[in-house]
Amino acid sequence: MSATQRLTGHQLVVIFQTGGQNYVISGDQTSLEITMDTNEADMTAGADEYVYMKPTVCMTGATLTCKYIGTNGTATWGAIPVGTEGTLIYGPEGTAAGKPKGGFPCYIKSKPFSIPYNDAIVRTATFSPQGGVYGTSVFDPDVHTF
Amino acid sequence: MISALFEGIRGKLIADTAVKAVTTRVYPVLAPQSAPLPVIVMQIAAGGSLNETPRDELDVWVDVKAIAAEAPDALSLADKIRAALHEQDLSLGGNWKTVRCQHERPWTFQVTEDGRQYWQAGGTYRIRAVVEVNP
Repeated sequence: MSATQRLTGHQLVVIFQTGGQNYVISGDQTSLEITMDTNEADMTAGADEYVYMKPTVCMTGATLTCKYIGTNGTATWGAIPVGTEGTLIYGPEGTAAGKPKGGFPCYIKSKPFSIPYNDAIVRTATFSPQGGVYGTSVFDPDVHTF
Repeated sequence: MISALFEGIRGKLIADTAVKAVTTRVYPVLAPQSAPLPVIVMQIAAGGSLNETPRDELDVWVDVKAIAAEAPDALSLADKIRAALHEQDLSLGGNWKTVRCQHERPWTFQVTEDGRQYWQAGGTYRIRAVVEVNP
Protein backbone atom coordinates (compact mmCIF):
# COMPACT_ATOMS: atom_id res chain seq x y z
CA MET A 1 0.00 0.00 0.00
CA SER A 2 1.38 3.39 -0.91
CA ALA A 3 2.18 6.04 1.66
CA THR A 4 -0.73 8.28 2.53
CA GLN A 5 -1.36 11.16 4.87
CA ARG A 6 -4.39 9.48 6.43
CA LEU A 7 -3.98 6.23 8.32
CA THR A 8 -6.01 3.81 10.36
CA GLY A 9 -4.59 1.42 12.92
CA HIS A 10 -5.12 -1.78 10.99
CA GLN A 11 -1.42 -2.24 10.21
CA LEU A 12 -0.24 -1.77 13.79
CA VAL A 13 2.30 -4.26 15.09
CA VAL A 14 3.18 -4.31 18.79
CA ILE A 15 6.11 -6.35 20.07
CA PHE A 16 7.35 -6.83 23.59
CA GLN A 17 11.02 -7.80 23.68
CA THR A 18 12.28 -9.59 26.77
CA GLY A 19 14.74 -12.36 27.56
CA GLY A 20 15.95 -12.45 23.97
CA GLN A 21 12.44 -13.17 22.69
CA ASN A 22 10.05 -11.07 20.63
CA TYR A 23 6.42 -11.46 21.68
CA VAL A 24 3.95 -10.09 19.16
CA ILE A 25 1.05 -8.89 21.29
CA SER A 26 -0.95 -7.20 18.56
CA GLY A 27 -3.45 -9.05 16.41
CA ASP A 28 -6.49 -8.68 18.64
CA GLN A 29 -6.04 -5.09 19.71
CA THR A 30 -8.74 -2.47 19.62
CA SER A 31 -6.36 0.37 20.47
CA LEU A 32 -2.85 1.30 21.51
CA GLU A 33 -2.51 4.51 23.48
CA ILE A 34 0.96 6.03 23.62
CA THR A 35 1.94 8.88 25.91
CA MET A 36 5.01 11.00 25.37
CA ASP A 37 5.30 13.96 27.68
CA THR A 38 7.55 15.67 30.13
CA ASN A 39 7.44 16.56 33.74
CA GLU A 40 7.77 20.25 34.34
CA ALA A 41 8.99 22.68 36.92
CA ASP A 42 7.22 25.90 37.79
CA MET A 43 9.76 28.68 37.26
CA THR A 44 7.31 31.52 37.68
CA ALA A 45 8.85 34.51 39.41
CA GLY A 46 6.96 36.53 41.94
CA ALA A 47 6.54 39.49 39.61
CA ASP A 48 5.45 37.43 36.57
CA GLU A 49 1.96 37.96 35.25
CA TYR A 50 1.77 34.51 33.66
CA VAL A 51 2.99 31.09 34.76
CA TYR A 52 6.39 30.03 33.36
CA MET A 53 6.95 26.27 33.12
CA LYS A 54 10.22 24.54 32.30
CA PRO A 55 10.42 20.97 30.96
CA THR A 56 12.42 18.57 33.08
CA VAL A 57 12.53 14.82 32.43
CA CYS A 58 10.67 13.11 29.60
CA MET A 59 8.25 10.28 30.18
CA THR A 60 6.73 7.67 27.89
CA GLY A 61 4.04 5.12 28.49
CA ALA A 62 1.61 2.87 26.67
CA THR A 63 -1.67 1.08 27.15
CA LEU A 64 -2.67 -1.73 24.81
CA THR A 65 -6.32 -2.80 24.75
CA CYS A 66 -7.14 -6.20 23.26
CA LYS A 67 -9.90 -8.71 23.04
CA TYR A 68 -9.08 -11.73 25.16
CA ILE A 69 -8.17 -14.86 23.16
CA GLY A 70 -8.16 -17.45 25.91
CA THR A 71 -5.56 -20.19 25.75
CA ASN A 72 -4.57 -19.02 22.26
CA GLY A 73 -2.65 -16.31 24.11
CA THR A 74 -0.72 -18.59 26.43
CA ALA A 75 2.49 -18.45 24.38
CA THR A 76 2.47 -14.66 24.27
CA TRP A 77 0.49 -13.12 27.11
CA GLY A 78 1.34 -16.02 29.38
CA ALA A 79 5.05 -15.45 28.80
CA ILE A 80 5.03 -11.82 29.92
CA PRO A 81 3.50 -11.63 33.39
CA VAL A 82 3.05 -8.40 35.29
CA GLY A 83 6.42 -7.02 36.31
CA THR A 84 8.28 -8.34 33.27
CA GLU A 85 10.97 -5.93 32.11
CA GLY A 86 11.78 -5.45 28.46
CA THR A 87 11.28 -3.13 25.53
CA LEU A 88 8.01 -2.23 23.85
CA ILE A 89 8.27 -1.74 20.11
CA TYR A 90 5.38 -0.57 17.97
CA GLY A 91 4.97 0.10 14.29
CA PRO A 92 1.83 2.06 13.35
CA GLU A 93 2.27 0.92 9.73
CA GLY A 94 3.87 -2.45 10.40
CA THR A 95 7.54 -3.30 10.65
CA ALA A 96 8.74 -3.10 7.05
CA ALA A 97 11.99 -1.22 6.50
CA GLY A 98 11.41 2.51 6.34
CA LYS A 99 8.13 2.49 8.28
CA PRO A 100 7.78 4.53 11.50
CA LYS A 101 9.13 2.88 14.64
CA GLY A 102 8.21 3.68 18.21
CA GLY A 103 9.24 2.11 21.46
CA PHE A 104 10.86 2.42 24.84
CA PRO A 105 12.33 0.34 27.66
CA CYS A 106 9.62 -0.51 30.12
CA TYR A 107 8.05 -3.07 32.35
CA ILE A 108 4.54 -4.46 32.34
CA LYS A 109 2.84 -2.58 35.11
CA SER A 110 -0.61 -4.15 34.85
CA LYS A 111 -2.69 -6.58 32.80
CA PRO A 112 -6.26 -6.20 34.00
CA PHE A 113 -9.32 -7.84 32.46
CA SER A 114 -12.85 -6.64 31.92
CA ILE A 115 -15.33 -9.51 31.76
CA PRO A 116 -18.86 -8.35 30.93
CA TYR A 117 -21.61 -10.96 30.84
CA ASN A 118 -22.76 -10.28 27.31
CA ASP A 119 -19.89 -8.61 25.54
CA ALA A 120 -16.35 -9.41 24.50
CA ILE A 121 -13.83 -9.99 27.27
CA VAL A 122 -11.26 -7.24 27.00
CA ARG A 123 -7.81 -7.02 28.49
CA THR A 124 -5.47 -4.11 28.75
CA ALA A 125 -1.76 -3.99 29.38
CA THR A 126 -0.02 -0.89 30.66
CA PHE A 127 3.68 -0.32 30.18
CA SER A 128 5.66 1.91 32.54
CA PRO A 129 8.89 3.48 31.30
CA GLN A 130 12.35 2.55 32.43
CA GLY A 131 14.38 5.45 31.13
CA GLY A 132 16.45 4.98 28.05
CA VAL A 133 18.48 7.34 25.95
CA TYR A 134 16.51 9.14 23.26
CA GLY A 135 17.53 8.00 19.83
CA THR A 136 18.96 4.69 20.92
CA SER A 137 16.53 2.75 23.04
CA VAL A 138 13.63 5.20 22.94
CA PHE A 139 12.15 5.37 19.48
CA ASP A 140 9.91 8.20 18.39
CA PRO A 141 7.74 7.22 15.40
CA ASP A 142 7.93 10.82 14.20
CA VAL A 143 11.68 10.41 13.92
CA HIS A 144 12.72 6.76 13.75
CA THR A 145 12.01 4.02 11.26
CA PHE A 146 12.50 0.28 11.11
CA MET B 1 -19.42 -16.11 5.38
CA ILE B 2 -23.21 -16.01 4.85
CA SER B 3 -23.25 -19.63 3.73
CA ALA B 4 -21.23 -20.60 6.83
CA LEU B 5 -23.85 -18.93 9.01
CA PHE B 6 -26.80 -20.56 7.25
CA GLU B 7 -25.10 -23.94 7.22
CA GLY B 8 -24.34 -23.62 10.92
CA ILE B 9 -27.97 -22.89 11.76
CA ARG B 10 -29.35 -25.47 9.38
CA GLY B 11 -26.95 -28.14 10.65
CA LYS B 12 -27.92 -27.46 14.23
CA LEU B 13 -31.64 -27.57 13.50
CA ILE B 14 -31.72 -30.73 11.41
CA ALA B 15 -29.57 -32.49 14.01
CA ASP B 16 -31.91 -31.53 16.83
CA THR B 17 -34.19 -34.39 17.78
CA ALA B 18 -37.21 -32.23 18.60
CA VAL B 19 -36.97 -30.12 15.45
CA LYS B 20 -36.15 -33.10 13.25
CA ALA B 21 -39.29 -34.86 14.47
CA VAL B 22 -41.35 -32.02 12.96
CA THR B 23 -39.37 -31.03 9.88
CA THR B 24 -35.93 -31.08 8.30
CA ARG B 25 -36.90 -28.56 5.64
CA VAL B 26 -34.73 -25.57 6.50
CA TYR B 27 -34.14 -22.91 3.86
CA PRO B 28 -32.31 -19.63 3.51
CA VAL B 29 -34.41 -16.60 2.57
CA LEU B 30 -37.39 -18.37 0.99
CA ALA B 31 -38.86 -21.84 0.96
CA PRO B 32 -39.65 -23.47 -2.38
CA GLN B 33 -43.31 -23.22 -3.23
CA SER B 34 -43.49 -26.98 -3.48
CA ALA B 35 -42.14 -27.55 0.04
CA PRO B 36 -44.81 -29.05 2.29
CA LEU B 37 -45.45 -27.25 5.57
CA PRO B 38 -44.09 -26.85 8.14
CA VAL B 39 -40.82 -25.34 6.99
CA ILE B 40 -38.11 -23.27 8.62
CA VAL B 41 -36.78 -20.17 6.89
CA MET B 42 -33.83 -18.03 7.94
CA GLN B 43 -32.78 -14.59 6.83
CA ILE B 44 -30.03 -12.13 7.73
CA ALA B 45 -31.70 -9.30 9.63
CA ALA B 46 -28.87 -7.01 10.65
CA GLY B 47 -25.23 -6.76 11.63
CA GLY B 48 -22.16 -7.86 9.77
CA SER B 49 -18.41 -7.74 10.07
CA LEU B 50 -17.18 -6.04 13.23
CA ASN B 51 -13.87 -4.62 11.95
CA GLU B 52 -12.84 -3.83 15.53
CA THR B 53 -9.56 -5.77 15.58
CA PRO B 54 -7.28 -7.30 12.94
CA ARG B 55 -9.11 -10.59 13.42
CA ASP B 56 -12.17 -11.32 11.26
CA GLU B 57 -15.29 -11.22 13.44
CA LEU B 58 -19.02 -11.32 12.85
CA ASP B 59 -21.88 -9.94 14.88
CA VAL B 60 -25.01 -10.83 12.93
CA TRP B 61 -28.70 -11.00 13.72
CA VAL B 62 -30.52 -13.79 11.90
CA ASP B 63 -34.28 -14.24 11.77
CA VAL B 64 -35.25 -17.89 12.01
CA LYS B 65 -38.92 -18.68 11.66
CA ALA B 66 -41.29 -21.60 11.47
CA ILE B 67 -44.01 -21.48 8.85
CA ALA B 68 -46.99 -23.77 9.35
CA ALA B 69 -50.60 -24.11 8.28
CA GLU B 70 -51.87 -23.89 11.86
CA ALA B 71 -50.88 -21.35 14.53
CA PRO B 72 -50.13 -23.93 17.26
CA ASP B 73 -47.79 -25.80 14.93
CA ALA B 74 -45.84 -22.66 14.11
CA LEU B 75 -45.60 -21.62 17.77
CA SER B 76 -44.56 -25.07 18.89
CA LEU B 77 -41.87 -25.33 16.22
CA ALA B 78 -40.58 -21.84 17.08
CA ASP B 79 -40.09 -23.01 20.67
CA LYS B 80 -38.18 -26.04 19.45
CA ILE B 81 -36.00 -23.84 17.25
CA ARG B 82 -35.21 -21.65 20.24
CA ALA B 83 -34.27 -24.64 22.36
CA ALA B 84 -32.00 -25.88 19.59
CA LEU B 85 -30.20 -22.58 18.98
CA HIS B 86 -30.22 -20.43 22.12
CA GLU B 87 -26.79 -20.44 23.84
CA GLN B 88 -25.66 -23.30 21.63
CA ASP B 89 -22.45 -23.76 19.70
CA LEU B 90 -22.92 -23.75 15.93
CA SER B 91 -20.56 -25.58 13.59
CA LEU B 92 -19.93 -22.83 11.06
CA GLY B 93 -17.29 -24.49 8.93
CA GLY B 94 -13.87 -23.29 7.82
CA ASN B 95 -11.99 -21.39 10.49
CA TRP B 96 -15.14 -19.75 11.81
CA LYS B 97 -15.91 -20.45 15.45
CA THR B 98 -19.07 -19.51 17.27
CA VAL B 99 -18.47 -17.06 20.08
CA ARG B 100 -22.09 -16.99 21.12
CA CYS B 101 -25.55 -17.67 19.67
CA GLN B 102 -28.40 -16.07 21.58
CA HIS B 103 -32.12 -15.75 21.07
CA GLU B 104 -33.19 -12.13 21.38
CA ARG B 105 -36.62 -11.15 20.04
CA PRO B 106 -39.56 -13.49 19.51
CA TRP B 107 -42.20 -12.56 16.98
CA THR B 108 -45.25 -13.98 15.26
CA PHE B 109 -47.43 -13.04 12.33
CA GLN B 110 -49.78 -14.49 9.80
CA VAL B 111 -50.32 -13.97 6.09
CA THR B 112 -53.08 -15.17 3.82
CA GLU B 113 -52.31 -15.89 0.18
CA ASP B 114 -54.69 -17.42 -2.34
CA GLY B 115 -57.09 -18.13 0.48
CA ARG B 116 -54.50 -20.11 2.39
CA GLN B 117 -53.19 -19.11 5.80
CA TYR B 118 -49.49 -19.21 6.65
CA TRP B 119 -48.72 -18.91 10.36
CA GLN B 120 -45.24 -17.72 11.10
CA ALA B 121 -43.46 -17.72 14.43
CA GLY B 122 -39.81 -17.30 15.14
CA GLY B 123 -37.09 -15.27 16.68
CA THR B 124 -34.12 -13.10 16.01
CA TYR B 125 -30.84 -14.74 16.94
CA ARG B 126 -27.65 -12.84 17.58
CA ILE B 127 -24.66 -14.82 16.35
CA ARG B 128 -21.14 -13.73 17.15
CA ALA B 129 -18.31 -15.58 15.44
CA VAL B 130 -14.59 -15.23 14.96
CA VAL B 131 -11.89 -16.66 12.71
CA GLU B 132 -9.44 -18.30 15.07
CA VAL B 133 -5.70 -18.44 14.56
CA ASN B 134 -5.44 -21.99 15.82
CA PRO B 135 -8.67 -23.68 14.67
